[in-house]
Amino acid sequence: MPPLSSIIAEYQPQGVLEVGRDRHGVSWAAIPDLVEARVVDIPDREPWVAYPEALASELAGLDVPLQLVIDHAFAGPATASSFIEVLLGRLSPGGRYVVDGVLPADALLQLMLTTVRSPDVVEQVDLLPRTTVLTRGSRVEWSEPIRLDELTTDPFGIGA
Amino acid sequence: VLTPKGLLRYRLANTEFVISDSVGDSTPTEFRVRKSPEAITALPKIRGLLRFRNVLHVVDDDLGSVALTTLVGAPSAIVAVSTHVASTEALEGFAARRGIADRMHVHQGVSLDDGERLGRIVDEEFDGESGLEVVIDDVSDRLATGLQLFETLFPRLTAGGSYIIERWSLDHFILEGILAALGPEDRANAHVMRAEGVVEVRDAKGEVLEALLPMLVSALRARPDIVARIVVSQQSLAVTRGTAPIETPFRLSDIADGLGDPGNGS
Repeated sequence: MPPLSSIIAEYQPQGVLEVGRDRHGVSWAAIPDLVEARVVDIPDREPWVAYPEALASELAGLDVPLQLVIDHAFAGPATASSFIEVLLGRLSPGGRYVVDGVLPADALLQLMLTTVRSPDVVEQVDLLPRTTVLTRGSRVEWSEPIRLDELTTDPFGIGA
Repeated sequence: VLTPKGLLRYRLANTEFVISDSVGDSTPTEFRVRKSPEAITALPKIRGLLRFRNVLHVVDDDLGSVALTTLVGAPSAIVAVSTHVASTEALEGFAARRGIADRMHVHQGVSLDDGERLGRIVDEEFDGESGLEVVIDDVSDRLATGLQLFETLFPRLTAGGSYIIERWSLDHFILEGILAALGPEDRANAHVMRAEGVVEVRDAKGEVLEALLPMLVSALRARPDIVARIVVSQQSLAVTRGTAPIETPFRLSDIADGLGDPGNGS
């Protein structure tokens, strides 16, 4: 993943949520004070599914729009999609969701195909060798958490 | 600013662009373009990739799209490669009015499978220090032609250059609109018309340009020094050329060797 400071400099978010796993990647020393950040760290021994409530609680305390999520915590196809489903809807339109690591191919292709049917949810997928950046689309209202499989179609079986 | 003027008309820098299937009646100040409203309104999003770059724009007979790309992207130079032979009067008039005739050239009647001619055009037109920095494939709508063009032109990009495919999702996009109007049972039984007859939708997988996507993802994972970045949105797919030299003939399948599950990269 590019350095956190350069991600902050590029997107200039007001509110940031960083989800770490067992203290991995949580590194805020060089971040300007103007950014309001919340950090949730998920210990390795804890199942990730216990954390949507913790995430919601952290986000409730954020006084500015959430414009950047940095996710170091996913651990496989199910968790990758589920974290995105929980958190993408919390981002402000145009906000970025940065996945630090290599997303499973099926989850990645699903996100790319989501841009065709639901660009108002996932507007853009930017794939780098070890980082994926999603741009949240302009849709204002949706039920939470979102369900990517309901927002995506794959008529030709590209992601199969 | 690209401003809509009604449903099918847009205005930019004193030039109008009208969506039309017939693109032959353009003038230097009013072009007919064969693009969807979604494709036109998405163009400013790739402006950052085009600005002050040397661009090769591959089109059919829709030369109005070259004028639109020029105004939206403000490239240093733009070379249009057209698969058709049509009047260039409107585009030449457009270039002359804007004083960019020396930076806009058109090559017509170029077959997409004529790699030798395409290579010659790149060598002749982009022999300066900057080289070829951006390719826009605005013509391919099938996997075979899109892949062939990519394999011919992607190796000729400079390191860090962008290869943009505009119609990567066109089949999916159109089909999406049709399927949305059907009930679940009809959707499950949907078929598509191909040259060889009617086939089930999934049997068209080997033909649709969208099938390039998993190959590119696999190539990025296997050789990020060749495919360095992929940016996907509804109306464009942009692939960044890495820094490694590419041996020709280049075959994407040689570096895209399957999509294994990478596991946890954290």
